[in-house]
Amino acid sequence: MTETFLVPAIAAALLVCAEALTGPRRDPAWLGGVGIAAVAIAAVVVLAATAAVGRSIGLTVAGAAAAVAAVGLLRFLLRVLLGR
Amino acid sequence: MRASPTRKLQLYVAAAAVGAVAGLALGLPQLVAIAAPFAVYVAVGLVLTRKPQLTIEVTVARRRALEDEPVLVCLTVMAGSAVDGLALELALGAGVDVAGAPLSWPRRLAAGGLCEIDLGLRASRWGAYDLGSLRARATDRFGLIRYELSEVTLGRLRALPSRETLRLLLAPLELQATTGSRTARDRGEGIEFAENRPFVSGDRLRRINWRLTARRATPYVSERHPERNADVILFLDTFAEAAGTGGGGTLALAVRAATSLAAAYLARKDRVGAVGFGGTLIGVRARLGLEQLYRIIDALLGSEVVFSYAQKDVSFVPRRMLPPKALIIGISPLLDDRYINALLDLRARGFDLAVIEVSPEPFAQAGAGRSGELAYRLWLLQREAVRTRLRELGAPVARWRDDEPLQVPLAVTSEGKRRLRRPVAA
Repeated sequence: MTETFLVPAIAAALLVCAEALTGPRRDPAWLGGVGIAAVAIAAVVVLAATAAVGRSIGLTVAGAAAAVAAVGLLRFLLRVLLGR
Repeated sequence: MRASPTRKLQLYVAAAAVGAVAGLALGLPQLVAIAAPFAVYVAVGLVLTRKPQLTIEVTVARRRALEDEPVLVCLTVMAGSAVDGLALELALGAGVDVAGAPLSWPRRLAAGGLCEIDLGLRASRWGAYDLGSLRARATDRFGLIRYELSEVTLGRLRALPSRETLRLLLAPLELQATTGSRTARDRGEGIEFAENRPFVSGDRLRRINWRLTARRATPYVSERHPERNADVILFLDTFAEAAGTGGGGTLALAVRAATSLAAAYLARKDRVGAVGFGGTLIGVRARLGLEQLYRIIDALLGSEVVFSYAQKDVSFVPRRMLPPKALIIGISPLLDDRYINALLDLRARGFDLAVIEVSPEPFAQAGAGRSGELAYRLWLLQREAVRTRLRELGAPVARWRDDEPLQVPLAVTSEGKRRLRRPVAA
């Protein structure tokens, strides 16, 4: 579960950092949306890999859901802090 | 419109490729999972990309301005579709700079958005200038493709020389036959009273001075001075100039002086012409009116020092440019012998001549060492000899420096002319 949580979170963090560095849009709404999409895509890949090796799908789904929730919470906090 | 990939696109494609290859090589699906968002981002971005529709309109408030006077340029940027990463690049023409705040613009415009940017441009020296061009760049929503929009030219600006108000002008020795504002010495139809004389056969009855006639019991008439105008030719030296490192020079000063003189003489109803005598010949025939002022300024704006070995003399100047009885005002740094010889030739031909020497001395410094100082003093002596020679021939010379008003050399030259007219005591 840790792995399925960490991998999408790392993927989201990398993409959001790259997006913030290269632009052109750097507003929190756009960065948050990109982060959630990245988590979802990475989670799908991790799920596919987990299914292929026959591990527990339930734990994987729970990890991916936790990652999506973490990024969503981060986006919410950003919006609250920046007032948008 | 030209499209090209941005650095971001290259970076994301590289990240996706490295992650996928490393994941396959190392057997780690986690790396593929990390690289997958980059690949999806690029794919979605390229599918959804649209060319930004951007229109730029340029409005220049004036195409003519005085030198160093800011001209307002209004840039209107209209976005037909949403535009991200907007970048405006202003390439100013040579001799043009921004007056006031530098160019700033919003990075993002919504569809149908409008942005107006006011910019002040100025030319620090008189002349005709190309203001430059404006190039706009924008990226798509995802920042993957950069679009270079067509270049918009700002057009041309004519920076007119600044003028000085002149109260005292050089009076010409002789006037023309046409009506003007100057009181002639001879008698005729006019306003200024000259004298009374006995009536002779052929005199007009309206000229009879009835009071004097009644007192003297014999008819008297009042004579009057007619109002006439003069022809003034501004004779500019474009053979050589002394220029400083700051962009100023004797030619720039000479053109300013010529513009001020042309405006002042034309305001007094005189006919004014201009001749730029140098490597290339510039000539404007003497005419009247405000239009003539702009004709002279336009001709002088193109004047520049063109290096030439040609041995030119006054015979190169078309005869109609130098009308008879004209007052010729030479404006020169007196650096080139060909121009000095032309002045001597004009005086020898009987023209009424005065010279305003635009002093090159502020732009020249003595060389290092004793010999440099000696050479400088010799040069000053040679210049004084030229002035003396011109004065001996009846052409007053007055020196003019940038830091003093043009009225000063005019007053000196005017006094010089008065002295020359004074009869020599036996």
